[in-house]
Amino acid sequence: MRFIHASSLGLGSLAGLLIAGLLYSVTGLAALDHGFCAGEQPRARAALQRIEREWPLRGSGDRVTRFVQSLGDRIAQRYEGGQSGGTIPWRFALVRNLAPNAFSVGAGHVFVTDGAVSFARTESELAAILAHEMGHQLAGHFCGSRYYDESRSWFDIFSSPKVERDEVGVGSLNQVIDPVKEQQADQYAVSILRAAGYDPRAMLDVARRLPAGEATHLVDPRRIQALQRLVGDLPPAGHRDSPDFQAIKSILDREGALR
Amino acid sequence: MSRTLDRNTIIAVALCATFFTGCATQQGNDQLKGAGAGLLGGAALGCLTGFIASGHASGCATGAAIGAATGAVVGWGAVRLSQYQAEQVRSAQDDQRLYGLSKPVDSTQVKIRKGTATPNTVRPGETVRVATDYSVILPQNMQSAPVSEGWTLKKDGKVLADLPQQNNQRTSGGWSADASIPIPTNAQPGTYVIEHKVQAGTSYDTDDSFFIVSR
Repeated sequence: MRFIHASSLGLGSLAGLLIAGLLYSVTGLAALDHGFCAGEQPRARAALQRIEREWPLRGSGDRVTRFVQSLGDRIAQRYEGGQSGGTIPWRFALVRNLAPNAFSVGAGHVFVTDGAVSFARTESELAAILAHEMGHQLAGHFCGSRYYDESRSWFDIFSSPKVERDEVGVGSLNQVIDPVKEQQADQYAVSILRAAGYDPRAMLDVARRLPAGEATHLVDPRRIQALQRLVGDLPPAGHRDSPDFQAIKSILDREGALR
Repeated sequence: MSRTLDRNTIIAVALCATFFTGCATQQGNDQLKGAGAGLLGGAALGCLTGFIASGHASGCATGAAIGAATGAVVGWGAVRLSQYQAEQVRSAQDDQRLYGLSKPVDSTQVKIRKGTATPNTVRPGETVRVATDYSVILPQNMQSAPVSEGWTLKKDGKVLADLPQQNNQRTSGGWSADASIPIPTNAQPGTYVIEHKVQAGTSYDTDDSFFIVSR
């Protein structure tokens, strides 16, 4: 018979267990499995398979994909370095679509469209878009099967946050939009940006600039007010765009659509 | 005196031809303009060379005739896309069975399944057949959507020609678009890349295929 002493688990594992316990008590969810909620990984895998079959994606060796992956890795490391976690294998993929959009499917998988990268005027804004999607993951928004009805789970930084939870079509999948969860993800995003040395005000800038006039792209005044409260007193980080960021912007301008 | 006038006329013709050639190279998607520019450019250059070499107008005429003949088939600026054809190769149900697709709920999507260039190796003056196999996925309430197909020819990372873009209505399912590209007689040996592009609304996809020109 073997006994596992608490001391052999390490602080990270203990913190993980505490968070899992907290999540379970708050949401009634099953225990975490390798840092994810029970059932999260198979549900995310099903969504990934569907996306790969149906959506035009940039390859993992593509220069734009490599930059977005390295930016995501960098901000995750700097944020998680100060946290107990650091176990999420973040994977960022680029969708060939000129409309700005970004979403997560759980298990650390984040999708960003070409249009979202083009939409970001600065590297800080692109970091804010990624950080928001990471925020959904870190906040445990992929726990609970009600967000996974037929692999239809999406969280979208560009979507219209209505008072009530809403679903918006993205491809053949539906995107779940819950204004409360959007604000929670924004809170994480601001923390991630600060830890990574990016200007947290970029999150507010992105929220203010969301394309208006489309059903799925409305600007929510409450979200902006909440962000203003979050970043209002923070000093700007003054991060400058890297040459790599400028290079991928040029690539997207050049490739773009068929002329 | 007449010789001075002739020389001015010749220079004007040469400038005009250069202008047209430049336009065609920049736009690169008008086969008639491309062919015309090649012909005009060749004629003007031949005329100028003939005039300088012989010192009289008849030299210009001879040079122009040779230049025109050569200019029509030399250079990627004048490359033409011929025998374009497209057909539906899979129904929406076939695509669903093959790729497990489902109906999009919002907007049209396209996805290239395969871009090819055949044969693998060609000689200058021969023809390469390019083909793009792609899926069109339409929302429930749409019968068809405008889709653009395009090919870009590259070598060593540089764009040699944007071939004429084809715009057509497409229904749901698998489509194959193909066309022939004649390889100029002065094409440099080496590996050439064809970038296949398909776009519908904001959704687009690309794929690369390759062929080798050897002498």
